[in-house]
Amino acid sequence: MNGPRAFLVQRDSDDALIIIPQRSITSLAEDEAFTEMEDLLLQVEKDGIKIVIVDFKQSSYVASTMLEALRAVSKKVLSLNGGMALCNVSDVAREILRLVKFETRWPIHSTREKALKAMRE
Amino acid sequence: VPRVLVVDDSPVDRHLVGRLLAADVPMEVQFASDGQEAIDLIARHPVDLIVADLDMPAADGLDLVDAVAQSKSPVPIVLMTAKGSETLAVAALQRGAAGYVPKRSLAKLLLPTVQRTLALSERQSNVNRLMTQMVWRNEQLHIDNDHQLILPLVQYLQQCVWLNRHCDATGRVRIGVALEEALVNALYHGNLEVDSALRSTDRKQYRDLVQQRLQNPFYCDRQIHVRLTISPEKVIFVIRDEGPGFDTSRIAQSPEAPDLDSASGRGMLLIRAFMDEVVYNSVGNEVTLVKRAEAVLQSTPGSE
Repeated sequence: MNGPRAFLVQRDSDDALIIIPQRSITSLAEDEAFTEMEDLLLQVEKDGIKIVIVDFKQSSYVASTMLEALRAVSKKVLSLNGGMALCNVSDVAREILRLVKFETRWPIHSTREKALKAMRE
Repeated sequence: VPRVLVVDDSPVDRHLVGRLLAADVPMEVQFASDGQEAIDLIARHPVDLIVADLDMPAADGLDLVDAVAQSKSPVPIVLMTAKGSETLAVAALQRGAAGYVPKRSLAKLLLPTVQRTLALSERQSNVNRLMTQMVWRNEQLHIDNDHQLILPLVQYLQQCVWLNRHCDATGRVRIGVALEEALVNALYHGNLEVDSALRSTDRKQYRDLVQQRLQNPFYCDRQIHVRLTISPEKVIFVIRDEGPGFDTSRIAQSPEAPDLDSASGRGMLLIRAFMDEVVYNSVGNEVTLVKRAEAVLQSTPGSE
């Protein structure tokens, strides 16, 4: 797909995936955002990803479309006996996670390195 | 006389920059040796501009850019960069720095860059002051059912509220979240009439239906109507779609967060959390969001 994307995806190692949600998610049609999410789910399954880190360094908040995408990715990685953690979460994004009761669902770390280290321990 | 704060861990560079700045033009120059000291200092003595080294051992230039951007009175920052730190400089610009000058070109570029930034900042500050004197604001927008217009519209509305000093930086983000959710609802669930509950049961069917209706003039030619009213006490956003509406008693009965595994219902929760009042019309195709003015900030945005 050309143009704006909902996530930037990077590999940290064979079993770890870094997802960076982009501010431009609202400028995507919802169906495009969910198509991206489906691609991500396929990648997690195909590559046997055990660790997913969602790095919020590009977003000051997280809207419901993104929350739904993250919920689906987390569900997939948990089904593969892996786990998901978040990092670089702004105060407002943390407030949103608390409101929707996701704050305790995923561990939150200050940096990507700390998140990766904690998930590997 | 403009007040400029120079932040650098090197005493030699601090001295050099201070000399360059005050050489030909009247300027009150203060100094700090790292980002934290700078933050403490500007909390006590506001400045008009900061010139900071990008690379410092404790609280570097990027940290300073972040801290100042989050503050109630953002100040423009010009960064000084060493050779090889261009990528970091670009990151700093993306995070809100006003500009950067390579250290090797300080003698030639620093003063003109600082003067230009100060002039721009003063102009913006005057616009901001003017906006705070606007007592009422009424605007109406009729936008096409185009998802690409949502983000710029949200940003525009946030800016209107911000310029009228009705919220701080955090409040501005919260308002943006609520508006984004309400506009996305109007577009997909209102005008395209795609039920969000379908996402929980069949994501593929949900996507296909959205795609189908985005091509169907009966649905995609509908518009979203937005009315903005700003008064000294509150901001009112009225968002109406051209769909048939929905049974609003469905949301009135579920003010709590949806189940963790539910695929829908979180948008409405966020709208309610971040707005002071949320009222639907009887049909369910128009929502009125009210945000009361927060304690009016003592400073005009960007003026200090």
